[in-house]
Amino acid sequence: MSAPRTYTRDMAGWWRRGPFAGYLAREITCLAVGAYGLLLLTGVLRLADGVDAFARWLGVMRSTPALVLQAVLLAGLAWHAITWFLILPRTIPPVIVAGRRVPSWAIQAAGIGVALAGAIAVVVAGSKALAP
Amino acid sequence: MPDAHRITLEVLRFQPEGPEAPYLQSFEIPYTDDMSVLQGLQYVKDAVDGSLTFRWSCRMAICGSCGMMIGGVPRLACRTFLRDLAPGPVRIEALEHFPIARDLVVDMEDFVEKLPKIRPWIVPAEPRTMEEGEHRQSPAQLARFESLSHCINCLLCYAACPQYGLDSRFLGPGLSALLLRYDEDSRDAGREARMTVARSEEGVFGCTAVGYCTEVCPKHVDPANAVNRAKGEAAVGWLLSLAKRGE
Repeated sequence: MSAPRTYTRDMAGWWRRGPFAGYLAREITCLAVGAYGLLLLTGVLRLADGVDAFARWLGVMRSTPALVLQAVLLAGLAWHAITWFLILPRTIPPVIVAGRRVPSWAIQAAGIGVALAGAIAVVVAGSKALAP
Repeated sequence: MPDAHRITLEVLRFQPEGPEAPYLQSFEIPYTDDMSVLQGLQYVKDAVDGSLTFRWSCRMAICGSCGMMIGGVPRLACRTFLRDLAPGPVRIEALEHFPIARDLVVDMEDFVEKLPKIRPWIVPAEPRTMEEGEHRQSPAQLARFESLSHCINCLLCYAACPQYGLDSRFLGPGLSALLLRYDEDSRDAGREARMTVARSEEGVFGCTAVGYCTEVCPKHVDPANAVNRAKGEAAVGWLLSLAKRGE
């Protein structure tokens, strides 16, 4: 006797639904992280070419289109960083301190806090170094 | 039914001998504030349409039988209350990512076939006689896997996992959690066999950390964390096996 017929639903448009749209936004913003890394790498390579080359690169980076690009990349990078830390408690082994498991919110807050403090430190140090 | 309100259930129906594709059927039912979605479905079956098919047993979120999509979210029908879904209508469908067998009943053969592969039992390190007594376990050793042992195999996590929906060869969140439950047990010595499954093409690395499985888990098992911990163990095990081969 053959098995009764079953019906398999297709998954068209699954990524548009609430929980999955957020997941894909996290995944796709990794492109912003990569693009910004390449941008910084270009700066390092120009620095290796000499002071004049680096100054020209800085000039390009201060142009309006480059600033718009950096603003877009910054938004993507910030979203990626925040959502990365939000998922962190689900991707690492339990953190036990003094015999108790550290709650998810504490891991998330610590991660986002350290990332924010690091970003502020880099901006402050960079502003001082590049001040005319 | 005294002091009853009314709500409409939109149920996705499918019969193997019926129309080619599933179809929606609406049932307007009376309900009281203490009625679950499961009780709503039971009302339909008892008083409106006896052919409506769904699984249920314990009515108290222990047996894991009544998992279904309620308002697009994988939930247990017995612990979802109609009062929280008012004024409706309430869309009720079979669990996603599984073939529909009939109405709200899914074909879970894939899960059942995979289950023994992860050896969901304790593989003792050494045989022990009754005279030697039980295996002792400290509270700290129990704490390593206790939350993982709360899984009731309700399959809500599978309905929440797009990776399983896209490729059902993936072991999936529930079985990965169960795999880790036995691996973390101090009485068990079956790690190597389980890690072979975990690091296989269909193993835990199919997970992309969507995390929705943990959100829908009714027993707070945190399958997303289990899968990712199993990834770490599988990777370490693979490196150790390489090192052993090099000796």
